[in-house]
Order: sequence, then structure tokens, then C-alpha cells
Amino acid sequence: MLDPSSLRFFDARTLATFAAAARCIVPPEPDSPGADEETCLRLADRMLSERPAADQRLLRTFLRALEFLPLFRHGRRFSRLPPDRAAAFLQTLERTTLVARLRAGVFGVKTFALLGYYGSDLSHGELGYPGPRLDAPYYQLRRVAGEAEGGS
Amino acid sequence: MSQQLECDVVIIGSGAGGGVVAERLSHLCEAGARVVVLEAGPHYLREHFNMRERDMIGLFLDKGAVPSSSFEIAVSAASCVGGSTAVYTGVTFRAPQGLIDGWSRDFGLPELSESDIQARFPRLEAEIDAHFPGAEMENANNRIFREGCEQLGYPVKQFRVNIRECERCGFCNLGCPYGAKRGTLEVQLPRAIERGVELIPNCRVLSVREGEVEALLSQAPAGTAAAPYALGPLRVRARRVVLAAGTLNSPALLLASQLPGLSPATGRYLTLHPALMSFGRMAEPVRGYEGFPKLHYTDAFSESHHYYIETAFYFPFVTAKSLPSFGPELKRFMRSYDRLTCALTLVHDEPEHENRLHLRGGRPQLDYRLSRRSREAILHALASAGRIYFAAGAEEYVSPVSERFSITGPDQLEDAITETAFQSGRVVVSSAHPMGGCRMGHDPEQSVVNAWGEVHGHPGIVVADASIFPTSSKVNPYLTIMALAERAAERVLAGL
Repeated sequence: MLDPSSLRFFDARTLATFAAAARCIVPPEPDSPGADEETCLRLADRMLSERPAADQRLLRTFLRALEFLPLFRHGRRFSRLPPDRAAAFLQTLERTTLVARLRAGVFGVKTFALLGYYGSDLSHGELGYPGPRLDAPYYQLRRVAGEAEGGS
Repeated sequence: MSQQLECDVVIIGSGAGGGVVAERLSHLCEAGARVVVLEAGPHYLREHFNMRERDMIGLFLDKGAVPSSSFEIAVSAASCVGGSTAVYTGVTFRAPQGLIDGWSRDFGLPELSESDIQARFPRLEAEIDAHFPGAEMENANNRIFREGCEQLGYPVKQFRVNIRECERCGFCNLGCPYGAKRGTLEVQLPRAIERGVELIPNCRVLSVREGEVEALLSQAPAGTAAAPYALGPLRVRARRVVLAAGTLNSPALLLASQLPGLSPATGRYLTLHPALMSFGRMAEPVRGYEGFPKLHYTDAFSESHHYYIETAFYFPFVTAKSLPSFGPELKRFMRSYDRLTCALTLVHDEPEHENRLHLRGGRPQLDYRLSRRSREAILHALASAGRIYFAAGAEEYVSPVSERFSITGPDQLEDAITETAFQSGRVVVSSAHPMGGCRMGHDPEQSVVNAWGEVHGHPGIVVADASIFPTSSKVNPYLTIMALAERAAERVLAGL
């Protein structure tokens, strides 16, 4: 279980909401993890923490709204909805004609969930994507220096 | 207490504009003058490029994209030494015939002539090794696009690209790890530095005035080159100030500096070259990530519907982000990543007074709405790209604007790609070619700089980037920026 105190952007509540949304965006399957996997959440947290403060505020506000909005329809918070209901709710917000900011909020969460999953090496195998060329100068120099090549 | 630095010319920005100005003025250093380049972003060298999206996002302004206030569009702009020439694909377009004469005629710029700019292009192309690549450079993604266009009778044209000894690794947009892409990072800046120009990365300019610049030096991010200057405030006094910080920064910097008499047009008339990716899925492996990504385009609908379609191929995260919606279908489609083809539609948007960059709470804010014409162009372009891929044998086509995730035949394109599916926020259009905001012109009420890039009322400040374009160049703008920057450098030289 990911410890929120080790994160820079998320606190316990926003992490729970984001993780539930990330699971809808890239759901786990028997042979592959979802975007709620710890590595993905850590990467999303790192990237979000480096965004401008105004963008961070907007996303936090959206995550708080997302957590409580389902109370009106489903009587439960977003992070406590079953995955199929959470996905349907998120899709409703993505397509709402009422408030453009809600659509943009879903896009923001989607962006960082996808960055967490497809921006990390764990997805490369299922994509058939070889990743970086390890003969490039960056990796050659690290081999010479005896450093780890990294990758998550 | 600020550090003080005295020089003859200070150049703000090191991309297609600033890099060229630095190189052209570098001969002054050999005669004892001092020329300084201030770059807000970090200095990545080729050995720093690790080809990972999560790390190379540090090459971009705000570590990603800058959204408009309406979330209709998000602009990717480089913030690093070399500017956008460090992260573009090397596509080198000449300005379309007639564009510059149109600017000259429509904006009262008799000093700016088509013949002068066009005459500069062959020499600039030679300087950056821009050429039409041979057939051996065509990977499967480009071949499929070409074959689809040929099936439909769409003209297929080739780009000039500025590469030398390209390893065809496909990572151009994350910085060329082999130094094969001949942007300012590899060509003009090293030459300028060798002749004595001083480059100061991680140096964000806060305000400009004639003769003086206030800036702030920050720590170099890990894994980038640092400059030998103390961190903190920096005041630069210079005989000339060249502003080449790009369309998202140059107008904002002029506005933040509160220069007296600054044109009310400052920040306005932005064009963003709105762009969207779409994807075909083939039965056989394409491996679009291997080889040189961009070779072909079609202008079949440039005159009638105002767009180009170009080949492109991007990395897993950027690809996934460009797909509609989310969930199991997105994951299924991404599992076909090595069988995907990708095209980029680019719309010729028009300059409008309301599309602007302004300051809100001291921070730049981008207000931009897609016009009716641009929205119609995008819908038409996404359907055209689908026809191209189905003509080439695609089993499935996925468009970011669509009523459904998957389109499995050309007969479904019109029903799926609709205005109702084109909701702002749900679809965020991208942009990598922002232009305007400090546009050239004769009238100080309607324009910000004159034909040489000199700010109206402040001739000691010269703007030399895409922000001075009065209208969209319609094509990838780098070569046009270089030509105008070279002109600006000549003006600065003449005035020193």
C-alpha cells in the first residue's frame, strides 16, 4: 500500500480518488496491471508535483469534487464505488454538457493516469515497444561510469 | 544584491530565433564585444537525452503543455537550450510563396520583401543540412500514409528535414541523442560559444527595458549542464536587447515589463496551428517508433478546407493521451501500438483579436478559442486521415474526436466524427507552432514591432521569434523564424 506521506502532490484523500480514477482509465487485467499500480501512482505524483501551482490547485479541486459528486447519484464517494460504477460515472463527467470544467478535470486525471502507466517501463512489454536505444550516448556513459540505467 | 553584467547585446532565448541571432552576432566577440544569451530552460546536451518521456518532459515549458483558459487547446513549447529546435522533428518548410508579400502589403511593411526572405532560405537550409531524404529513410508508417494518399489521388509531398548521419532511432521529439538533428543546439549555439558568446541557462528573465534586463538564475536540474554563474538575481546592462523567448513568453515579458506606450496589440492575434493526431491499426507490424518519423504530407485540402495532414509517430504516453475516452478499449488499442500508424492534422488558423496572451495575477494566461472554420477543418481533416488509412488497408481507425472509440470502415467516418463529439475539455487540441502576439506592422495601435522586429517606441528592444508573425505561416515555422532572426541580427549589427 502506497504511503501518502512519501508523496509530493497527493495526500491520502486525493490519492484514493486518483487511484480509483486511474483504475478506470487503465483497468487491470489478468495479465497486466492497471494505472492504479504503485509505480504508476508514484510517477503521476512526481509529474504532478512539477506542474505549475495553478494547475496543481485545479486538479486538487477537481479530485475533491470528483470524490463527493457521486454521493448525489450513488450515495457513495467515488473512491468507494465499485469499479464499473466508477468508470460509468467518470464517463458521464467526461461527456457532460453542463460544465466544461468537469470535462477538463477528467481530461487532466486521464492525462496523469496515462502518464503514470504508459510513461513507465512496465507497460512496454504489452505494447511491443522496445523503449530507449541503449547504445545511445546517455546509456553508454552510464555503463562506463558503472551507474544503473534506471527504469520503472 | 543582484549580480551585474555589462554587455553589448543580450539575447533572451536560444531557439530558432535566439540561436541564429547569437551566431550572427558572434563575430562581434572576436572583435572584443560581449554577447550574452539568457535561456530560461536547462542545458541538455546530446548525452543527457535518455529517450524516456517521463524524464524528457523537462525539455518543455511547465513540464508538459500550457492549456488555454477554456481547455480547448494546450500548447507544447520547449524550454531548454535550443528551444523548439531541440524537440522538433527537423521539418524544414520554406514559407509558402506569397506569404511574406502578403504581410508586407496587408500590414504596411514595405521594408519586408518576399524576394529577400526567399533568397535567404537556400543558404539557411545549407547551414542546417536541410534536404529531401532518400527513399531509404521511409519507414512503414510513412509508406502506409503515402500509399493511402496515392490510392485516393491525394498529392503526397516530402518534407525537407535538417538531419545529418541520422541513426533513425525515432526519438527526435525527446531530443536527438546522437546530435544528428541540426537545430540551434547543435549548429548555431556551439559556433557562437566557440567565438565567445556566453550562454547562461536556467536564467528566467523577469523584465526588459531598453538597455537593461532583470533576471533570476536558478539551479540547473540534475542531469543537465550548469553555467558558471552564481544563483539568484542578475541584472544585465546591454546596448541592445534581443527578445527571442517564443510566442508564449515574448509578449508576456513585454506586458510584465510595463513598457510605456506599449501597443494595445501586445499579446493579441495569436495563431496556434491547431493539431490533432489520429491512428490507423494495421494487420501487420508497423513499428512506427523505428526510423525517421516524418517524411510526407498532403496539402490536398489546404486551399479548400485549410489544413495539412502530416505523418508523425509519438511515444506511448503521448499516443495514449491522444485517444478518445479511456478504459478497456483504450488499453486494447494500445496493445496494438506496434501495428499503429499515426498522422497529424494541422489547421491553418487565422489571427483574431480575441485570441491572446495576457497577464492574470502576474502570470501569463492563454485565451484562445477555435473558430468555426478551424473546428470544421479539424472534423474534415480527421475524416480525411481515416480515408487515407482505410485506403491503405487499416483494420481500424481511431480519431480523438469521435462518437465511438473504434471506426472500422470508411462508411462510418461521417457519423462518428461529429461536432457533438467535439466538446472542449473532452477533446484538447494540441499546438506546437504558436505564432503572433508581437506582430509586425506599421501601425503601433495594431502591431507591436516594425519590419525589423524593433518594438514600436522602444527601438533598443528587438523581437526575433515567431511572435512577430502577423499571421500563421501555415507551415512549420522554423525556417521563417530563422530568416527573420537573421534580418533582425543585421539590424542590430548596423545599429551598434
